[in-house]
Amino acid sequence: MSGGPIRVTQPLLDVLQALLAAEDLELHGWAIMKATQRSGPTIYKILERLAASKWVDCRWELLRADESRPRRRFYRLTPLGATEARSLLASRRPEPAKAKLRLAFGGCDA
Amino acid sequence: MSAWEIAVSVVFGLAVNELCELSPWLARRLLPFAARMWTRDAESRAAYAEEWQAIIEDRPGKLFKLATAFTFLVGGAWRSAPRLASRWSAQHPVRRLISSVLITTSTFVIMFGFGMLSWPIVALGTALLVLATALGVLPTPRRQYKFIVPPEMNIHTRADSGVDAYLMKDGKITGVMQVKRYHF
Repeated sequence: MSGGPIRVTQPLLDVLQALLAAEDLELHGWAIMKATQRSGPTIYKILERLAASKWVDCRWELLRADESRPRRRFYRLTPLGATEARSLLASRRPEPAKAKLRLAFGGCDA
Repeated sequence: MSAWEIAVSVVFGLAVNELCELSPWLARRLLPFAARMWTRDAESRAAYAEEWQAIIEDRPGKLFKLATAFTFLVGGAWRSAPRLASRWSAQHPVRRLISSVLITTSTFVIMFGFGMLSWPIVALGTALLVLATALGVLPTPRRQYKFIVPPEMNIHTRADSGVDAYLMKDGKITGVMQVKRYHF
């Protein structure tokens, strides 16, 4: 994993998972907080690390002329980040093995 | 229920309602402080303040908005703790001592207030704690001095408020002179 974030933590994996699950691999801050159920400072520390490692880049929301609200910043996985995130998640959070189908009645092993 | 109790309950209800209405405003006010503690870079501060305000706008619930702003404030305070610690250690020992005594006293006042279930005492203790902490970490304004530096001399300020004057010749340091504060 060349050039990746130094420390792999559960919040980092959560953020990567949320970004990978997003449409266009892009989310804004509140959407990441909501998807990961993590606090703002935790998310932003991770986003800074990911940006420093060139795993994510960001862009500001474009507002219409008649809108006066604060702009959101969108974070998007770069091609490098998406590749690295997929391999990291595959190694750290493999898909749980699908539960074997069992009969509802009388399915217990003898 | 007496008229007095009815009046108190009405006033209390209005106060709670007003506090709920004020929460988003207060949340927006807190975020620039949080951003200031989060980073020292002025451009990044402005960007974070705007971005976090967008989060507050997106977040449903007036009190939740305030709670979210508080998490950013606590995160910023936590992040700036090493910076504050270095400022603390750079303070004059007497000022540190006074600040320590006041912080200890205010902590006892807060605990006393909680014990007595008296919110004014808790508020007083909290205000004292903020002031005592500010006394310990805020920088002291220093007098400005003007140096007239000859071309063969190079000046460097030092962390202990002294000044090193380097005598230069042909781009090389040929001597160092320490100028202490008491020379002024």
